[in-house]
Amino acid sequence: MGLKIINQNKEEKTMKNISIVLVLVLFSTISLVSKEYQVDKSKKNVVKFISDAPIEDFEGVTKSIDGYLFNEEDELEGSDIYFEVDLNTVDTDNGLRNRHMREDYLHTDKYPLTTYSGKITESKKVDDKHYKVKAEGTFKVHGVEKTKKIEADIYKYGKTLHIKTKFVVPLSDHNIEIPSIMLVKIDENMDLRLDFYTTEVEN
Amino acid sequence: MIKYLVFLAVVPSLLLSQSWKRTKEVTEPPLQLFSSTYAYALPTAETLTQGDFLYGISHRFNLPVSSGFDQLFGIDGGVVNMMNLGYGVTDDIFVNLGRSNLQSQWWFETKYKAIKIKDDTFPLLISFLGGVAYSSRPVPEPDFDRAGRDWHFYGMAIINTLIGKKIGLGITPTFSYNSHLQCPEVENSITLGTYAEYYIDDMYSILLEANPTIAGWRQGYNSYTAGFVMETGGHFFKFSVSNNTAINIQQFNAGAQDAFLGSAENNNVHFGFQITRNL
Repeated sequence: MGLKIINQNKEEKTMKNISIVLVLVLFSTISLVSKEYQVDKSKKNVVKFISDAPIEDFEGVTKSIDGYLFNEEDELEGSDIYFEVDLNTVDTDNGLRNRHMREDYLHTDKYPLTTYSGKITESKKVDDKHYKVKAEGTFKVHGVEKTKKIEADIYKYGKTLHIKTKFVVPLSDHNIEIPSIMLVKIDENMDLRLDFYTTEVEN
Repeated sequence: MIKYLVFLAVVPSLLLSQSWKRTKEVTEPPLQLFSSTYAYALPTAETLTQGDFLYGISHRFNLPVSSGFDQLFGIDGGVVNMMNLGYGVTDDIFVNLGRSNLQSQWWFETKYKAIKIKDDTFPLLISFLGGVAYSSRPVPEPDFDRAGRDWHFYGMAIINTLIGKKIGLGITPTFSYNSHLQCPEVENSITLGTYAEYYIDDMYSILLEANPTIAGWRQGYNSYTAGFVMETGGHFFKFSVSNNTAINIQQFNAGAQDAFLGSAENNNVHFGFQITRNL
């Protein structure tokens, strides 16, 4: 009986050691191939919301973007992506208009973030540094989620990815009331343009 | 044995997930209770965002509404006209330069947003305003030596709250030095301005303003103004009737020349409108 217990303990100890070794091997292997890039806030990131209006166009700008791009095989294709923008920081160059945008249209007290999460489904190498990618995911603003396919240009400089994309957001898709300027409604489609940087992080 | 296998299965999947976490809470927007930096003549505690400009033009008609249709209820007559240009030095400091054709008065004010208390039921904004005015060409010319009398000074506290996101309330206790140039001696006044704005929707509101003199000199009557405001595309259009034709704080605080209600022989109000544009 006593011998059996001793053998069992030995077996468990051996398994434990093997597990640790395997985990270490796995860890080192995975670490070698998987890569995570996070938004680099020290860089000049720009997110623009652009709207056409009959009297004057307006542009909301912020640098408050955050998020990541994560891949398991050091390939852009198949990468998981998640990015979010803090809407309370969007500046239209007019404090009163900022307030209206926040309080009357985007209701940022309830929905402070706009997010995009999805996967890069296609990646084409244009040259050594430049890739054209397509992504599929969910775009969320004003609390309403919509599936959205977007295209982007990614420029790879060492451990930095410079990402540029633009897409159209129909305000009615997200239950956002169409704002009016001097009683005239602005365009119901808003252009969203993003130009930002991510840097590889150590996991 | 099983737990090691589970361990082996779980750890790699953990290693294969991203590590990003939000490191910063979402930004809190500034506390703003009123839309405009002014009610009619009295200021709100609001300032402009740093770098923003404001241009305003205001009229109050000299002829009263009681002049009837022949004078288009006063609109055919002369006006007290005021223009002003404001600027947001910082998000909390607002400067404003203006000119009124009444006594050809120049004025300059600085407003400082000092106290901000965020609260769902009783938010509070308190600002302090100091102003100086110079009456450059008094009409009529006083029949006394007016040397040194052309300068006027005033200071006020502005206390604002917003109830249920629908009713904005303000109190503006004010001290005015040299309230009126036409007084033979320097006279001072203490007024307790109050106003209430009911926001019908995000474009229209009803606005009432009262400015009783609680101590010191007063010309004629306490001032009352009532009307409505339309706000669109960075513009405020304010339509009102008032028993005081002055619009800038210094002259407005001196009191009204007519009674608003209740005086049979001198019961006159005047049309007025103001347009301001936030740039």
